[in-house]
Order: sequence, then C-alpha cells, then structure tokens
Amino acid sequence: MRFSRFKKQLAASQIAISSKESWRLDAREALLAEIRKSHVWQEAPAVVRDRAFFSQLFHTLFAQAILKPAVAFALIFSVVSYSSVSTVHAARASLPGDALYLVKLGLESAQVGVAFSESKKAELEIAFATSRIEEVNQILKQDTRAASTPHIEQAMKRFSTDLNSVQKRLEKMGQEEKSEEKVLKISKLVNDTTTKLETDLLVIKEQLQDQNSVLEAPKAGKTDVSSIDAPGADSGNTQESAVRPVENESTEASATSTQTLAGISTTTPVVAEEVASPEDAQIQSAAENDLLATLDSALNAVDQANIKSLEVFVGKAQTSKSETVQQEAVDKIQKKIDKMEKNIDTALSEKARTTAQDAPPSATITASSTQPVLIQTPSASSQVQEAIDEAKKILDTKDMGQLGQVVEKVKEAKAIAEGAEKPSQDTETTNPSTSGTSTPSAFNQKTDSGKSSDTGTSVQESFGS
Amino acid sequence: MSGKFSDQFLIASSIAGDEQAFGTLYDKYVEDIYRFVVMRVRNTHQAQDVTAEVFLKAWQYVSSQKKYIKDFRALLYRIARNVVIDHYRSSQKEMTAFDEDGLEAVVDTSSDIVENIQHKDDMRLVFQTLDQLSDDHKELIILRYAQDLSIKEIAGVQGKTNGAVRVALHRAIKQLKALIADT
Repeated sequence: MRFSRFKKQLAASQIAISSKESWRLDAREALLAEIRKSHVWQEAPAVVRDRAFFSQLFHTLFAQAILKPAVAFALIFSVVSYSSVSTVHAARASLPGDALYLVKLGLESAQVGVAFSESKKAELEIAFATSRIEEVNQILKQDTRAASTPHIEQAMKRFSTDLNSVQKRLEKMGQEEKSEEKVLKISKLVNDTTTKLETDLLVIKEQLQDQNSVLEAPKAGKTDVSSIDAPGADSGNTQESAVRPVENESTEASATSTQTLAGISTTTPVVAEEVASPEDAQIQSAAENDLLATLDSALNAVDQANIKSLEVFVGKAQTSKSETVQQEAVDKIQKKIDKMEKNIDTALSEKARTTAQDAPPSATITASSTQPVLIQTPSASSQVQEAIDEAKKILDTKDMGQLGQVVEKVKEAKAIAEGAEKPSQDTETTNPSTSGTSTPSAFNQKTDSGKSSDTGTSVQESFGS
Repeated sequence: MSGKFSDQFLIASSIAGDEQAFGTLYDKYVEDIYRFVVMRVRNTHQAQDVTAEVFLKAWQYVSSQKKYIKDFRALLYRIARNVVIDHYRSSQKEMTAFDEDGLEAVVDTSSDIVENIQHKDDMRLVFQTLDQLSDDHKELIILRYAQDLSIKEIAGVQGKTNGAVRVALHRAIKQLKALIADT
C-alpha cells in the first residue's frame, strides 16, 4: 500500500466510523442535565436564561465582529456575570442622561441587528421609538428645564432615527416581502403606532413650547406657576384641544407642523423658573429652540413613517382577497383625508389669528404646537384643498384599484402644504432624519414666505445665535 | 458567522445560562471527537463513555475558567487525549487491535459485499499499521490525516510549537512509510 492510499483509507475510515444517533441524543441529554445541575447554571438568574435576548446580543457582537472576540467575550461575560446582571436591568430602566443610557441604546441596536426579518426589525424599532416618548415623559416629570433639554434632544434624535429606519423597512417590505399577511400586519402596526406617537409627541412639544414662552416673556407677568403634568393631563384645558389631532385618528402630516399659538401661552399652565441672567436665558432659549427643531424633525419622521405605512397597507390591501382588509384601507385613507382637511382649516385660522396679533416671526417659528403647517399663501391652501378634493372624488368611486391614487393625492396635498416646489426631496430643507422619502420633509418646519428653509437655521437667525 | 466566532458565541451563551448553546457545541463536535476516541480505544462502548466524559469535562472547564477560549475544538481534542490516557491508566488495559467484531462494530458496512470485503481489509491494514507506530506518532497521524487538523491546530491540541509538530509529523510519516513498505 502506498502512503497516498493509506491516507485516503485513513480519511475514509472517519466517514465509516459513526456513532449511533440514539446514543448521541441520550448523551446530549445527559450532558445538558449535568449542566443544569452545575452551580454556574443554577446561579444564572432567570433573565439571563432569556435565550431570545442574550443569544441575539452575543450573536450580534460576535457575528458582526463589532469587537475583537476576546474583548466581546469579556464584555458579554461582565454583563451577564452574577454581580453585573443588575447592570442589564439598570440599563434597560435608564433614561437619557443616565450613565447606562448608551448601553441601553446599544442593547436595542443589538436586538435589531440580530432580528431575522425586516418585519421583526421594524417591530422592534417602532417599540423602541415608543420607549423614547416614555423616556421623555419621565424626564419632563423629573428634571429641570436646563438639565432636560439635551437629554430630550438625545432621545428625540434616536426616535427619528428609528422611525426613519422603520419607513425604509416598510418600503423594502412593500416591494420584496412575499407574505401579504406579514406586510399588512406590520404596516398596520406602524400606522396605528405612529398615530399614537404623533399625538404624544405633539403634547410633549406643546409642553416645551409653553416653557419656552414663559422664558421669553417672564417680565410680562403672563406666566402662572404650576407643575408640568404628564402629557395630556392639563392640555385638554387649553385651546389646543379643539384643534389637536383626534386621538388614534390617522396621522395627519399637516398636524405635525409648527404653527404658533402665541395666545395659548397666556392661558396654559406653565412652569415659571428663575433665570440667572438675560444671557443665560437667551442661551437656554436657543437650546430649547434647537430642541423644538429636533422635535419637528421627530414629528416629521413620525409623519413620514405614518404615510409610508398607509401607502404600504393600501398597496397590499388592493390585491387582498379580504374585504375586511380592503375596508380597513378605505377607512384609514378616509380618516387621513378628514384630518388633513381639518388641519388645513385650523392652520388657516391660526394664520389669521397670528397675523392679527402681529406676533414676531421668531415666536411664530418657535411656538409651534399641534397645528398644521403654516400655509403661507392662500393659493397653496386652495391647491391643497384641490388635491384633497380629488382624493375624495377617487375614493367615492369605491374602486379598490384606485386606492393607490388616493394615497398619491394625499401625498401631493401634503407636499403642496409644505410649500415644496416639486415632489422630489429637497436636501436643503429636508431634515437629516427624513432621507429616502419622496416628499419633502419641511412639513413641520417653519417656512418663510412659502420658501422652504431649515427650521433650526431660521430659528437661530431670528434669535441671532 | 465564522466557526470560531460561533463557538465563542455559544460558549458565552452557555456560561450565561443557555445550556442549549452548549448542546449546539456538542452537536457540532461530537462525531469528530467520537471518531478520534474510537481510533484510540478501539471499542464502541468505551468510546461512547470517553466521548461523553470529554464533553462534560469541557463544560466544567469553560464554566470554571470563564475566560476567552480561542479554539474550542483544540480544547476538546486536548481533553480527549487526556481522558483516553486516563482511561487506560485506570483500566490498566492496553490498546487492542481491531478484531473482526470490533471492526464491524464501528465501521459502517456498505451494501456491496465485494466492496465491503475490500474496504474492511484495507481498513484493517490501516489500523494494524497504526498500531505499530508509537503512541505519539499514531496520534499525530490520526489528528493530521483522519481528523484533518492543521499543523497549527495539532500544536494547540498537543501544547507544542508549530515547528515541533512539523518535525514530529515528519518522523511519524517516515516511520509509517517504512511500515507500509514492509506490508
């Protein structure tokens, strides 16, 4: 026998030698039983045995080679060791500004990273976006204005990022996902959730605007001292309730705009704070205007995600065999249209009121609230109404095949209301968080004479910062 | 995910409390280790016992050390070597050659009788030749040509340098060729 043949036979022997499956399975069970008896396993808290979470986290850190293997291993082990399990709990409960908040965001990213489908990723991201709102509400209950501003901004930026990601995933799923059921499920979830998120976000924005108004006019004696309650607690007493989007209605893009309600600041309970000096007040005010700009971006991201979810839902509903689904699509569009019309009316009335009060442009820009975008020109509002009327006309035909056109009309109306010159994205006016959308994202930004501009810039310019 | 990355992930998960992760490692390596052990102990039941012990010891090691293990596969082979040695020390048995029944027990027979006979004859010759090698040389030949480990991996298993393994393997092949030439 030659050596080459010997090697072949030796290699072949390995293939020929195999254990019995019954033995392998029995031995496996015996091994795992021994592992479960070990003190290492016994002392691992139940939460650590959450395979869905930790396995995914580990998989991400290793599979994506985020860290060198030895470092990743050390990090993971330190996180899950007995003395550090509380770290994970603490991270999950942390708020923006806390030491572990970045760990929390990292854990969320890891969860998304290992999710196996676009649907699951979108589901996680929309849930995390909801968490951001909850965090901000907690902050508003706890922190002073000065301390909370950067933290809220941090949460809102992450919020926008997550929602923009959701929007992209919806787009992808609408085109690539073969399962109609999955697409309908996730688009419905996103649509319903973004409606709620918009409402919550508008309340938050309102609270912050009220605070800002107090800061701007502390000498005017217009402020009342009260505590800021949880969103929605006192806001029903204000004038905004009449024009705030109805809860759980389809999100109206225009409702996320930043129209001023200067008059409201005089009637709404706000927090009055002492400021150290006029310079500090100005700095604080500028910071809060930046925050409001971030909130506008967040509102825009919500709006974009909501519209995209409606578009995807309708797209699938058109070809669905379920009449229930089709009717649901019609209902969603109808609600959307109704909301747009309502907000247009409100925007026009607010515009008239603002003009009558001769409010300065800065106040107009900053004291945005739950109102639709400020439609600068009568012709724009009539064009918006025309687009909406066309949408309603198509909807009245009850032709499922034309539902997509209705959605397009809705988008067109939104684009006109934003003052965009063309439906394609205008990078100068678009918030960084709204990439990938076909309609300009200036809907929630203040516009100057029908010209789109960056809200942050215009705000800064108006305050001279 | 590369093999070694997945091993690290599974080890970390198992230490964290996910015993099924270690089960996955078991599934991945049990056949390799079993075959290696069979080549050493030449008995099915003993090979099963030794193999089971190898994985239990591997768990005890990783769970007690709780440190980064660069090459889990090499660790398993290292443990297997030691368990086999301990097995023979404790039982005071010597490694026996494959007899007809022993070979039948571990080798999968093919349906073709003619091929089966030739196959078994060749395999018997291989095993008999291996038995004439020294323990160290036998292990090297098995790890290199039966288990298909690289020089670097063998070095990790045996705790030697790459150069030392290369030299030892060269000597083992030389001895083997001499034995083959005589058959």
